[in-house]
Amino acid sequence: MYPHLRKLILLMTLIVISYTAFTQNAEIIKIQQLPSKYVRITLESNLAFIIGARDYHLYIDEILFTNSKISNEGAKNYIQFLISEESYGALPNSAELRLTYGKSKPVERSQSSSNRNVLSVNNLFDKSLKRN
Amino acid sequence: MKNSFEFLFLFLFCNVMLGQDPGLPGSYSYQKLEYNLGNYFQPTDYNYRFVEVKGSVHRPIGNGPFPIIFIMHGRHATCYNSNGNTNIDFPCNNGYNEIPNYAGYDYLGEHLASHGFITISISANGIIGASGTSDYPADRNAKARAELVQHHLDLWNTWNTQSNGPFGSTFLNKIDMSNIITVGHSRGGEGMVRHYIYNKSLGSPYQINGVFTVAPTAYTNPSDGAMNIAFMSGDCDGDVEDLMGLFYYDDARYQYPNSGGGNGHCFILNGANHNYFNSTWTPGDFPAGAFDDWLIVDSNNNDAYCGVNNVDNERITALQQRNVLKAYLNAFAKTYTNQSVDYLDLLHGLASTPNSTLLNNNQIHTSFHPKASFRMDINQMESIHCTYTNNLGGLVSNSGLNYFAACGINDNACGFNTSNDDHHCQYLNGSHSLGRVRIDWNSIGVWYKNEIPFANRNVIPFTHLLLRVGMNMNIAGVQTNTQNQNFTIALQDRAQDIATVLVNDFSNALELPKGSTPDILPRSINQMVIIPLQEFSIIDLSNLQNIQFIFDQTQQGSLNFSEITFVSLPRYLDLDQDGIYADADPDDLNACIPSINNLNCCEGIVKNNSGNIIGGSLLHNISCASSGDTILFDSQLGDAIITLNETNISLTKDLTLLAPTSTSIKISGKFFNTTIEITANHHISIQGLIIESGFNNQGRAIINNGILHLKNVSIVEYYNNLSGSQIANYGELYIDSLLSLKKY
Repeated sequence: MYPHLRKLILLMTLIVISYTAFTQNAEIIKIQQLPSKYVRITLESNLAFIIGARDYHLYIDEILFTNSKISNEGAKNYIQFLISEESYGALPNSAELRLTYGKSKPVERSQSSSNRNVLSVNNLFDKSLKRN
Repeated sequence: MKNSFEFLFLFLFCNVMLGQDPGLPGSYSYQKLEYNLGNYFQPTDYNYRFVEVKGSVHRPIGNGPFPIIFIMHGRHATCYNSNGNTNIDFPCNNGYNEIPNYAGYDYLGEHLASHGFITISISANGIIGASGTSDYPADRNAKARAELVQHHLDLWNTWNTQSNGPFGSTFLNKIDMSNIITVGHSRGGEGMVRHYIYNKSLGSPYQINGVFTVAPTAYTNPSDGAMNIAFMSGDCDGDVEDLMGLFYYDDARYQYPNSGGGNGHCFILNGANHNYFNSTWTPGDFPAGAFDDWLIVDSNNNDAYCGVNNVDNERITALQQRNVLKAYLNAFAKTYTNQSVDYLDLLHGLASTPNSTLLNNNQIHTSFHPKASFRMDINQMESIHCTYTNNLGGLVSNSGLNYFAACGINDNACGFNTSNDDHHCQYLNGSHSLGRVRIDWNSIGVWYKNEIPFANRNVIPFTHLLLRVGMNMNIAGVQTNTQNQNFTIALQDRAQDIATVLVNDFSNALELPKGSTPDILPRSINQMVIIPLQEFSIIDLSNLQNIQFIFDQTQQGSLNFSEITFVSLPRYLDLDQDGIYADADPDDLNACIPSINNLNCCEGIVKNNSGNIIGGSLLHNISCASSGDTILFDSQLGDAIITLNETNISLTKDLTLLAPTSTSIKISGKFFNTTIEITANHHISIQGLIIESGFNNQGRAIINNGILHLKNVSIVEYYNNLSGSQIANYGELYIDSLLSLKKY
């Protein structure tokens, strides 16, 4: 029985490792107040963000933001959303975050590990991260 | 080895002899140039940013003037460093170099220049760089792109007339600015559609003869049916994976129901992705930022159809994708700049795939929608009533179908699982997609029928029957297709004779779509079926009664139909009946395709009762007739009244006006002094007509200065109690059976 259990544990470990390695996820690392009445939200990801025909869609509590700038620097991959102060002020704290590449709402997409249109966002929206 | 040479020789010989492979190099030598005027252009939506005015030029060596083609790239990384890192800055920051997205179409520039086109590929990195800044407009830069294109057009217009630009006198009087084609890839495609509309809003300072879009986005911009537009996309596009630009083709179709519209062309490439149309976006061709976009939706790249890691995949190479674009773009440009009529068959889906593409016929699906003056629409499927009555007013019926309903008209899709499955979904407001009729069957021999009203029974002026049909693959809760489909099309005349054809003998539209990537594959795209009417010639096509689709080839299936129409393709007309089709006969090139909008069509037959100069009217026939002609009146006019409106009748050449004895057609000049005036020395014969007088004192029906013969003619008054005469004769007048005349 033990050999089978060891194989099972090994298999589960491999699945977890491969999922972690090939599934793109992101988290907010910085929220910055800009002098020009805008707020910049920066997310970092384990894989490079796609630069293509689509915009990334960041949903914070179902409110959509699409104006973003991307930079991929080796293991550091960033996307920065520019949000007006007014919009930022209306956002609820601790809201759920979702990030997609393309037009569709996340609910319309298959949450498939082979589809990079949908990213897992690790943290909740935390307004305390905001810095000047 | 010998066999290889023989094959190569035969291949080249065939192409040279036919002279019709638009993917082979042309005869012009060419030169590559560049211009970079600096980052000074500011789109009107931008408050802070300026973008570059820069382009790659390929010009044919010769006297010209040459037609001109403008190309615009889409959204991609703009900067890279030696480690292969990328971003979308503009201009690039320290340590980063610019990615020359605009140079990714140099292969097109070389090809098109060899065919006599000056080709400009515009850099738009500065516009991409507005992303993530306060200058990023809600339309995702479509208008900014349009304004940048217009600025380049202004510059080139100047360089064509003045020698003070970056190229001196190189282009002085070398550019045919009345012959312009625009080409856009990805967001560049949306930009070029937006540019067409923008240029039009400025009063059309430039004539854009055609817009060729490659895998375009269509986020916010309307289509414009005035365009001659082409849409080309690959079905392994993983970036614009929903093929949203199909909307430009779909929505342009009926915007101009009478005149002023353009032609639509749609090319779907089996196995092509999004990025490989641009060499800078292709791995191996550029060191950074290039990738196979299919990975976006299938990161393991193992889809059975599109995944290159699957041994059974059907992906085509970057070279093949570009070869297809080279061939079809050249064909489109030559056609719409009036350089050639050799490629009409290719653009209409009636020719084999060019050898130069290295693809076979089944790998490119072509659809074509001609402008209104070349069509008689039987059923557009754009009304919720289209399952009861068609666009001609004929009855629509079915027998035995287990689903038969209009869809896509007031809803977002036709029952597809997600809006992504429906490739014909409009993006402007999300509430309308391509109007269709969905038909499901599960027994052999069931049918769908459109009746042709008596007034439209004569389809001889048309050359082809055209429809679009899609294989339903992802409809929730109902059967979809599991095999290739096929069905019978039957045309029946009023003598009850029937002619039939099988769809698969003429089209690959009913092949089972492939792949299994969620939300993406297999795709359900409506594709064209086009059938020459000569295939139905055993029945009386001047007396057609109905068109029936009989589902007799498979036990079950589910199809979406989006249009059924008769079309006239000038190439297939031989109107002067000299045995030479219009493509090779100058007389037929101004093809007489009967239509109220076609003043080129001088049939010598009065077909309507209009008092204006429109196609088929009496005044039009008189104005275009040659001396000695006879103008007939169609017997269908019956007892019609032709009330002259635009002008009265002035006969300044020898003519015979002849109405059938079965008719009582009246020509009224009640709005004019006199109805008919005849100038001196001309022989005029009028037979079988009723002529209603105007209000002159003398000669209010006819003033004759020539030699006039009247036979079986009635002259009647419109106004009571006028004195004077109805005919004032100052020439020679011969009367044979004048039926009535009040005052002479």
